[in-house]
Amino acid sequence: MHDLVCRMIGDPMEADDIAQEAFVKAYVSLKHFRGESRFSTWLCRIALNRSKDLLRRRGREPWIRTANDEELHIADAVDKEGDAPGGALERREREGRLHWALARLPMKYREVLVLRHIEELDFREIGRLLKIPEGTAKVRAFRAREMLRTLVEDEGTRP
Amino acid sequence: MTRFEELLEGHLANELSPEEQTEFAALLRDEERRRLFEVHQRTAALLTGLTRHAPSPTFTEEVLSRLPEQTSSLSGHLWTLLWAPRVIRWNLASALALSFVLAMTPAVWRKFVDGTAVAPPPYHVVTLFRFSVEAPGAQRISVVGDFNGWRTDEIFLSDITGQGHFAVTLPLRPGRYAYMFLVDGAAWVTDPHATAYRDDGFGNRNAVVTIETPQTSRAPNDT
Repeated sequence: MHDLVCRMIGDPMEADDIAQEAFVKAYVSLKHFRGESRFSTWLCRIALNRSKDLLRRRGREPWIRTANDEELHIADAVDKEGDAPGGALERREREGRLHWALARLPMKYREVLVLRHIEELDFREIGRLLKIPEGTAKVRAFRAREMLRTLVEDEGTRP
Repeated sequence: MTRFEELLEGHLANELSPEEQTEFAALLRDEERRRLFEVHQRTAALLTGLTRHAPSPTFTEEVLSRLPEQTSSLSGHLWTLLWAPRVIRWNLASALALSFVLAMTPAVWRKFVDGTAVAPPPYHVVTLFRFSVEAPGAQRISVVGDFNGWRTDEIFLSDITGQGHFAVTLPLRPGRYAYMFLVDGAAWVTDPHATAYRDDGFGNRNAVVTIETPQTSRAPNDT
C-alpha cells in the first residue's frame, strides 16, 4: 500500500504520512467493510482516495523529489548481484525516467497503470476498485502505456 | 479500442482463453503489430520491475500511535464496573468474619419467617477459578481476558513459592472466557494447560475457560 501511494503522489516521504492515514482510516471504518471485495483491494481504495485527496489539495500533479533523490535512492546505486558493472546506475537512471514519466500522466491513467503493473491487480479488481467498467480499465491501461512511452522517448531525445 | 489492442491487453494480463491466444498469434504476423506488442510488453515489464519503495522503519509504530483511543459509553463503563471480576485482597480475620456472617444468615432469617425453612439460593453466581502458569525467572505476570476487558494491568498472579509458579484465583460468572497470560508486560503466553483454545484472528491462539452453571440440589421437601 505504501508503494501504491508513493507511485501516485511521487514523494516517498509524504507517502509514509498518507499510507499511515489510510491505515488509520481503514481501522476506523472497519465496520463498513462488507466483504464485497478482497480486504487488500478495500485498503488500496482507501489509499488511492487519500492520495487523490492530497493531489487535489496540492492542486497539481505529483511532485517528484529531485534534490533529495540522490539520498533517497542511494541504496539503488549499489550493484545488485547479477548486474553488470555500472548496471545499477543504468537501472537507476531508467527507473528515474519511468518514475518521472509516470508522475506526469493524468491521474485516471496513472492509477490504472499503477494498479495493473505495480500492484498487479487484474482488470476485474481494478474496475471494481475504481468503479469503472473492466473494458474502460483496459483502454486506459493501453493508452497509459502509450503516453508513458512517448514521454520517456521525448525525455530521452531532449538535448 | 481495436480488437488487437484488446487482445494485447488480455495477453499482458494473462487473461486470454486458448482461442483468443490463437487469434492474437495470428494478428501478430503483421510486423507493425508485433513491434507495437513488443514495445508494450517491454514497458509493462519495466513497470513491474520498478524497485519498491519501503516505508520508514518507524512506520508501524507511527500508525499505532495515530489510532484513535477507543471511547466507550457511560452504560459501557457502568457495565464493566458492575461485572468485571476484581481481585480482592483480604486478611484472614476479615475472611473468617464474612464466612461466619454468611453461615449464620439463613439461621437468623429463619427466625424472622415463622420458622419456615429458607430455600438456598437457586444457584451460585460465581465460581472460583484458579489460573496458574510456570514461568521461572519472570518478574510480573498478569492474566487478561474477556472477564476484565483485556486490561493488562489489573489482575496479577503471585509467585508464592518464589520458584516461578504463578497463580491467582478469580471469581467468575458462568460463561466462556478467552484469556492469555502477559509475562513481564511483553510476552503473550497461551495457557498450555487450558482445556480449549480459540483463534484470536491474528494468527495466535487464546486459551479458553468455560465456567458451567453450578448444579444445585434441593432437599426433597424443598418445593
